[in-house]
Amino acid sequence: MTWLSSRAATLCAAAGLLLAAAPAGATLMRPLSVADLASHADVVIRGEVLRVDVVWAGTNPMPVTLVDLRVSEVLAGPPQGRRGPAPAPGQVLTLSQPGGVKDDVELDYAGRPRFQPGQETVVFLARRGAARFIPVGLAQGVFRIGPADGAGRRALTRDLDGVTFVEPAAGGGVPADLEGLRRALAALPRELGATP
Amino acid sequence: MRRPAGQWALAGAAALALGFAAGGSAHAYTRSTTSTSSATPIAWDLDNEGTLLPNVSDRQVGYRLDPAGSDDIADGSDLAAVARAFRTWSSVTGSALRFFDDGPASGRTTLNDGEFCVFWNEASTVIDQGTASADDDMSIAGALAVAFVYRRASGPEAGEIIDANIVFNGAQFAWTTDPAAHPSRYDVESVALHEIGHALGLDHSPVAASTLFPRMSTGHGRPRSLDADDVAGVIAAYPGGNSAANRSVLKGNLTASGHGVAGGMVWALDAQGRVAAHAMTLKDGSYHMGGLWPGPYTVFAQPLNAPSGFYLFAETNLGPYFGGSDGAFRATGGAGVTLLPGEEISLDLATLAGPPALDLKLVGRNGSFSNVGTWARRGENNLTIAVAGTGLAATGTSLSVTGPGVSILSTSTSTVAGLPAVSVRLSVAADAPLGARDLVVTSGGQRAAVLGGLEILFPPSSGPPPAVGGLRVALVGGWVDLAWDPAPRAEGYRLYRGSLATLRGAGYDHQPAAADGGCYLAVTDASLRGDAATGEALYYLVTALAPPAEGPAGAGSAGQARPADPGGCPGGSLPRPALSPGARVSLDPLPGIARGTAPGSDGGACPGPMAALSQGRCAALVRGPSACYQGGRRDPVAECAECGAEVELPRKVSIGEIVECPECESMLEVADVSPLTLEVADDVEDEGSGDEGGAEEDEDWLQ
Repeated sequence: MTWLSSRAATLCAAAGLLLAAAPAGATLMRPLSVADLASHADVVIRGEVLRVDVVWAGTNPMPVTLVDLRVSEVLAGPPQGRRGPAPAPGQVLTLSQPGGVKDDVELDYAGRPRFQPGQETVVFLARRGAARFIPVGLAQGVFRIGPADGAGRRALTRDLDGVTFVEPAAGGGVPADLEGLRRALAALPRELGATP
Repeated sequence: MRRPAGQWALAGAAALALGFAAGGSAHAYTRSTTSTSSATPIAWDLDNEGTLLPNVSDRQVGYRLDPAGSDDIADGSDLAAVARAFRTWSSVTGSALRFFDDGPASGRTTLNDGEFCVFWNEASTVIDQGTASADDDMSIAGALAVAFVYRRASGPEAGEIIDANIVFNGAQFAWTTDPAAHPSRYDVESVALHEIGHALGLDHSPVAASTLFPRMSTGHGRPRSLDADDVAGVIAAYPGGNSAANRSVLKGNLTASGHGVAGGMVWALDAQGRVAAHAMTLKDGSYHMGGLWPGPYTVFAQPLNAPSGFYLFAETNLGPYFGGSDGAFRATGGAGVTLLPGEEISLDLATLAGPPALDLKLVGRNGSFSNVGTWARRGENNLTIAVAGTGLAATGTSLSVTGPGVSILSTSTSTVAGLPAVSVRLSVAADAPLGARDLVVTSGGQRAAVLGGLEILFPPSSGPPPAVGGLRVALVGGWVDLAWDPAPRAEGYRLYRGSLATLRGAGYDHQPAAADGGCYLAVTDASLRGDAATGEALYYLVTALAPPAEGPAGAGSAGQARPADPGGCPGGSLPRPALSPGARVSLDPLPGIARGTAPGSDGGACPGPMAALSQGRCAALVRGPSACYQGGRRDPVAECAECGAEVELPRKVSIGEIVECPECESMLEVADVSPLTLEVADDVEDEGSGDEGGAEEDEDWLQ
C-alpha cells in the first residue's frame, strides 16, 4: 500500500475563508502535475494495450506485469541523444511493472498501475535499458482514454484506487482530456528528461 | 452469556436485529484483500513454517533495516524510529503478532526473497533491484512510502502474506525524527507505523485519528502510537496473547431498503463516546468488527464520502475490492449493544436507500480547514471546531462531540470553500476522557459524523518525559508481577516484554549499558528459558507516557503530538528479581498501554495489564489468555497435581485451602502460595474453594 504526503491537505483559511486552492478532483498520493510526470519520464506515449502478462522477473522471485503497447503517437520526448532510439508509431513497446499474480503468488501495493488488453492509454515512461520502459509515478502516470464525446473530446481517467492524494494538486491537477494533455505537454518549458 | 433485555437500545432510524451467532468468521474485518472480487483478507500465518520469510515459524515476523537509513538523518535515529514503530505494533494487548529485528538488510530491494527489508530509496525515484533485468525496476515518483506485500493469491493458503518490503522515498521527500525541529519534513516513525500496518494486512481506516488514516502532514501529523481502531484491527487479524479470549466480536449486515450495502462504514463508539473500531461492509452487506473490549457500544453506519472535490475518506482510499461502493443510503442512528467478554454478537443495521443528505468533507480548527481530523487538549477553552460539507442547512444545523467532557459554548454557520460549514466554540474539561471522538453534524433532521474527527489529547506541558525507576519483577505462582515507582507527571505507561533484541531494535534509544541493569530486568530462570520459544531470557521495559513537551508542529498541520517515551534509562542498577524455581511464565507477549489512557486502563473496558496499587505504586500483571479481564484481574491459577490441568483459584488463597480440579475433580490442597502449588488433598469432606469475595488489598498478592 502506498501512503503519501499531506502537507497541503491542510487548507489554511483566515476568518473562515479558505485561501488555498481547492483540488478540483481530489485524488491520491502527492499529486504529480504533467510537468512533474514529464520530469521523471523519457517519453510520453499514446497507444493500445495489446497484451498483458505476468512473469517471474528474471531469476528473481518477483511477479512482474509485462505490457505490450503498440505506439499510436509519441506525445512527447524522448530528449535528443538520450537513451536509445525514439519510439515510432506502429512500434510495439514492452512496459514492465512489478506486481500482479503469477502462479499463486500476488504482489500488490496501492497505486500499482493496471492495464487491460484493448485499452487505449497514455503512459509516461522512463526507459530502462535498451528495450524496456517503466511507467513513472505509479498509477498517476497511466491514463485511460475514453471515446470521443459529441465535441470530439476524449476524456482521460486514471485508476487510483487505494492511494490518496494528500495535498491539493498544483494548478488544479492534470488535464481531463487528451487535447488538454497535448497542450500541457506542449507548454512544458523544457524537453523531457528522466530525472532521478 | 445472556443479558437483560433492557440493555439493548434502539435509536434513530436504524432498525436493529440482534441475535447470538455461533462460530467465528475471521475474514470480514476491514483488511486488505486478495483481489477485487474476493474478500479473503491477507495476513501473516504465524504458524506456517513453510512461509518464505524466515522466522515466521517462531510466531514472530523478522524485519531487516538497511543500515544506510535516510540521507536526511545522520544520527541513526531514523532506524531507531522504524524499530520503535515495529515495536509499537508488537505491543498490542490481545494480538499475537510480534516483529523482531532480524539484523541489517542485505540489499535495497523489494524482491520476494524472504527478507522483509526497510530502506530509503535516495538516489532516484526508480527502485533498481540490483538485478541484471530491467523488468523489476519501478518508479515510485510521488509516493511518500510504499509497502510491498506478497501474498498467496489462491489455494488453501490464499491470503497468507509471505514477504513484505517497505520503501521510503528519499529522493523526493525530506525526513526527520524531530518534527518539532523540522516541521516541513515527514516524520519517520509516523510513516513507518502506517506502512507497517499495511505490511501486516490492514487497509486504510476512515477513522481520522487512526494510524491507518490515509493522510498525514509534515511535522507531527499524528501521534506515533496506535489508535483504538488500529488496535482492534491487528487483534482481529492476529488474535492471541493476553486478553484475546476476552475480546469480543460484533458482526452483522447493513441493508438499505432491504438490500445489502457494499462498502458502507460501520463503527462503534464506546461508553465514553470514543471510536472503538470500524468495519467496512463487504459486497454482500456484511460486516465483521473484531478486537473489541467487552462493554457497551453504540453502533452507527453511513456512506463513504463521494470521491470528488474535497473528501475525508472515499472508496478510492481503499483497495480495489471496495471499488463501486454503495454511497446511496442514509446514515443510521445509533444502535446500542453490550458485549460480554469473548462474545460474538450479530447486530444488523437497516436504513433507507437514497442519496445521503449530508456529506462531511472538511474539518476546521480555529479557522484552519483540512481533510484530516483535528484535536483538542484537556483543559483547552474557547477552541473553535468546524465541519464543512454538502447538505448543511443555513439554520438549524448543529455540531456536537460524542462523549463527556466537551462543552459547546456557541454555534454558528458559515461557508468555507463553497461548502456550508457549522462551527462551535467549545471547552474541554481537564478530565475529559482521552481518545478519538466523533464530530456529529445534525441538519434538517439528518445526522452524519466525522469518524474520530476530534481527538482529545493530553494538555501541553514542558520538560522531558519522566523516567521510570524502581522496576521490580517477581514470580508469584504462575504469575509475573511487575511494579515500579510512579513517575512524576506520567499519564500512563508503556510496558514491553520480549527478548533483548526485540526491545532494543536497531539503535533503540533505550539501549541499556548492561543487559541486566538500567531499564531492563531479565527473567532468566532456567524453567523460563525452557518455556520461551526463542530460548532467550525475557526482558521487561517500562516507559512513561507524558504530555509532549512540544506543541503542534508543522505549519497548518493536524498538529497532534504523541505521548513520548523517556529519552534514556533511569540509570542505576536494579536488583535482579527473586525467581522461584519451577515457576512458569506465560509466553503471551506483554502488551503495551494504548495511547491516551490513564494508569489502569487500556483504552477500553478492560483494565489491561496495569493496576493502580496502594502506596502510590503501579503494577503490571502478566499472565495467560485471561489476564486482562473486564472489571478486574483474573484469578490466579495453579497446576492440578493429579492431571496437570489449570485450576483457577480465588484471589485470596491461603495454604491449606482446598479446591477442586475442574477436569479430574480431584480435591487439591494449596501447599504453597509462592509459587502457587497444589497437592492432592487427603480425606476432603466437601470443602469450599475459599473466599469468593476477593477484596484483599493488591499488595497482598503483588510482590
